[in-house]
Amino acid sequence: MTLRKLLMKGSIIVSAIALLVGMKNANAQALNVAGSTFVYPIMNKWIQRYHELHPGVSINYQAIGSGAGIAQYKSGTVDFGASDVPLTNKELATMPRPTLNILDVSGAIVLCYNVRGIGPGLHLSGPVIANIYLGKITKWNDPRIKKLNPYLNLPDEPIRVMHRSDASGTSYIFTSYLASVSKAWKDGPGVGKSPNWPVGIGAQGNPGVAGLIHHAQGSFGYIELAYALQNHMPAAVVENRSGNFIAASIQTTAFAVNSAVKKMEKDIRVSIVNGPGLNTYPICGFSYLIVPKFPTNVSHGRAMLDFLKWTMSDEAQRMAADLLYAPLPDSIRKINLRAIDSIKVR
Amino acid sequence: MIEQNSKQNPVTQNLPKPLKTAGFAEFGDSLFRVISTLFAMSSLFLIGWIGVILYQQSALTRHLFGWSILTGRTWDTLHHVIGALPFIYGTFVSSTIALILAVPIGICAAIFLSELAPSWLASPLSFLIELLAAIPSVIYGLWGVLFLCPWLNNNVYQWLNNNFGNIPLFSNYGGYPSTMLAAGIILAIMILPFITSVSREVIRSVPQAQREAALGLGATRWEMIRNVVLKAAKSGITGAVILALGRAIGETMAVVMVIGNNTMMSASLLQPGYTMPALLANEFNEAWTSKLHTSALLEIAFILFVITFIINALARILILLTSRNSNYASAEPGKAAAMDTLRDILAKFGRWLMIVVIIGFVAWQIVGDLRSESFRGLLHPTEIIVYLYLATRFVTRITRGTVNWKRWRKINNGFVQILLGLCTFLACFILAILLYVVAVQGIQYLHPSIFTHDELDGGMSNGIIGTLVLVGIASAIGIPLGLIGGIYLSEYGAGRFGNVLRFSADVLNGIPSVVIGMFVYAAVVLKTNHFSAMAGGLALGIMMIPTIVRTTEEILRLTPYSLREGSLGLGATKFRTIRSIIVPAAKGGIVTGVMLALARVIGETAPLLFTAFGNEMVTYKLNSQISSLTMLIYRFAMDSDVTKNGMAWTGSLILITIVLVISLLSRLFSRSRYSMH
Repeated sequence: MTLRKLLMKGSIIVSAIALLVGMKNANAQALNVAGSTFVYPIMNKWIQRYHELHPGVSINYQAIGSGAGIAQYKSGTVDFGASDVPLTNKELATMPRPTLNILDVSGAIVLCYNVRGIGPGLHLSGPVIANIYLGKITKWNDPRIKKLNPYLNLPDEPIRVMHRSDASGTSYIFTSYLASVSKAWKDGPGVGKSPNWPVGIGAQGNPGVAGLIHHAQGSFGYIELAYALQNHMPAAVVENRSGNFIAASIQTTAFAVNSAVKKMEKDIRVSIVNGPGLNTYPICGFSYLIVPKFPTNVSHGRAMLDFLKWTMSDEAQRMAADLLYAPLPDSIRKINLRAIDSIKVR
Repeated sequence: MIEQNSKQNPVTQNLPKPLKTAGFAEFGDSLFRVISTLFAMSSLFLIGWIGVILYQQSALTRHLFGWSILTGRTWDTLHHVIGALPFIYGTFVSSTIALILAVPIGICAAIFLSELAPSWLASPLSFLIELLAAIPSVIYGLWGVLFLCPWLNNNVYQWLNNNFGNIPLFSNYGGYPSTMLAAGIILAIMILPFITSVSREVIRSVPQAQREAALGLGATRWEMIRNVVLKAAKSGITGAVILALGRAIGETMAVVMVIGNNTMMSASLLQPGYTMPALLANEFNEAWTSKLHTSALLEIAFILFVITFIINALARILILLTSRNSNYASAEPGKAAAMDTLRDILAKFGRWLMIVVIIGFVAWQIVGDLRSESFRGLLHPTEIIVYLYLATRFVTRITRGTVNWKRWRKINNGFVQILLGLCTFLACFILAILLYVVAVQGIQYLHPSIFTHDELDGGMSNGIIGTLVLVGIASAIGIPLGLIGGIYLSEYGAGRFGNVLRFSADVLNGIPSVVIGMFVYAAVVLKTNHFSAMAGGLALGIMMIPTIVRTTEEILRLTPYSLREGSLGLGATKFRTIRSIIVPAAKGGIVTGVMLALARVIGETAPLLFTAFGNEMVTYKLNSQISSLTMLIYRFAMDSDVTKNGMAWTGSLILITIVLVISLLSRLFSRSRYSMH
């Protein structure tokens, strides 16, 4: 019993000392960034590499969601935010300090399925996808799907529609695509991070949707390109605005980005879903950083500025391509650098 | 319990020395009473505060939609349509399924572990079950999506639909793996450790003399358990069930992954559904930029708060009405008689309602079977269950009062014991599968660098240290408040005020963790303007309080009254009696309660997102943002990198190991002073 008491006292003293030592040993202050889950993989890689290059600076990115990221930026608890939807002029006006939208990365969304006897490469068109999500096409052997895939033996099975249940930028990009190809979708469920889905079941995150598609016969859902490729999921080939059927890849996403460069000279807040061009993949979108124009904390501001510039470097963009985000073309990087240069740190 | 009797013998040796002045002793007593009252009031204070904040913040939605929120079936925030009915319905149905499945299995397992199993089997099994309360809910959810749902979809749903499909509950199978039933099953598995662990402690605390008396009168073992042990343990078991129900109602991450998140509101359990906490988990992160959306979600949280309130009130009334030894019996005979009549009427009504519903369902199914397959339809599972039931009723009737009556009772006794064993086996089997999956998946990425490197360098050290710091802070807040609050409720809390406090602890227990996180965010983070380990620890500490309060109270109430009388009679003050006699005697049960609370909060993610925030590097600073294993697990599980997905399992394996170590250490330190070893 005395041994036990001794042990107990010993452990209390040890933990107290550990706590004290720990408090002294705390690291230098770091930048806090919060927001989109869509950019988390590349952000994580960037921060890691940047920390190797500049050991004095550490950036803490927390993927708590775009909306929450904006709210945290607004209340001043983070140095800058990341959002899949840029701030509108009206929202910019409500921010407590002058704020910039800076384009970050672009990515594509693919449509995956699990249909008996059908491999990758199912042909789908915008209206067909919209009608499936509106609940108007309910069977895999619907004549409208058959017409696009005359050589496939499509089964007489119900289409089990899956969507993201967590509010997300991925859903936002996907619903803006649906709205761009279907008036019924635009006037009905509309564009949003968590719209009122007419049919189907919701799953959490890319892994949730992918898991359901993998396990349920006849399922159909949308997933980020990187996740689908890593998990070798069959993805549909989608008809673009020029009438060509395009598979999603970094190249075809880059075509979509390039097609919008002209418009972005005026304002980087553009939508690239259903873009023009022969080989453009139609379901892609951008992610943005929400940064202060006049950072109040000088040291944090300098570090942020340097980090932002670095993300536009060739090395950083190559890292994005490794994770299947389409690298930004030079013209857009120039636009971004101009915006970054307008940030003034006193 | 034999051990317990022997525990009481050396009591005299450990009695406190007489105090010098009576005045000082009295002062100490009243001081303790005041302090414990204040501590016990923390739950009341917290639910009041949380309630007010939720009510204020959701005012916009109520102003725009009024009562129609409760009846609206459409939730479309893009077009400003707010209806909460599908979520309310889903919450009710999923928690009901969870209770229907978990309560019988949990209690049976508890009986088996405390009454029938030899101690070499019972101790490790109960330890295993306790451990499972620590698996993070996101891991339950992942397991549900990847293993349980596909299995149910391939083997169970179709079978249920074929054999019981005429009952609306199992009709209309849609082919989706995510269903209301899956959510109910996941919830049942999650609350099983709560019900089993607390019930086992409660049952163990029933005095051994009562068992011996029953057996001495010729009762079989099962009759003794049913008529004596369970009667004595009823209140404690009900407390355990209410705790479990609170967790089932407020559970977010696991449900969100398996329920299908669809607002269709089907009567069939084989169709997807949606619950209120699931909605909060799905939409809160992105709702911040829209005032209406935020207010609508807080309105959902407020409705959930009110529903938890109502359910607890109903449960309390139910206990009051069903408990036989009513307090009024001796004091006010008239009132007691009135209560008895009311109780009888209600009990009769409840029983008849249940019988009518069951007969209705069975008849429906049989008629359906007859219509589809004529007389061959009478060989389906439903009918076979009916035949078996009728056969046992028949045998009971013809043997009663004959020579064979005793034989029949013995058969019953043996049969029930087998059934109890099977339930325990089932509970342990499910939990062992879960543990096995976590171990197998987790070991793949288990590597020393996980412990030495932080998230940026591909490890999890920031999360491991963060979890320890956060749980340390949470324990520093939750354990004293909970323990002393529980002591107050059992020793002083007999009156109406005690009931109010008890009630508020139960309500606090049912508040979803997301909401507690929001509350701490509003109360601490926004005020200090930065995230911190303190805020995260506070959120977890608040969640620990109700579990510890209620388990401590239930266990203390079961310590024999003679212990108190003996100590007081020898001149000890009430405070000393509590400190030196009552609490040590109940130590094992109290530690179980603390461990359950610890296990629950160590697996929480949602309340930390907006309080501790997360940190990709190791930190020990209490006022800077900090990470936790669960936050890493959640992020890794949802990551689009397959390696990260695997590391999520490794994280939970580490988490379970941490709980295992804490649990072993606390057991080592808290072994009762009066134990035989």
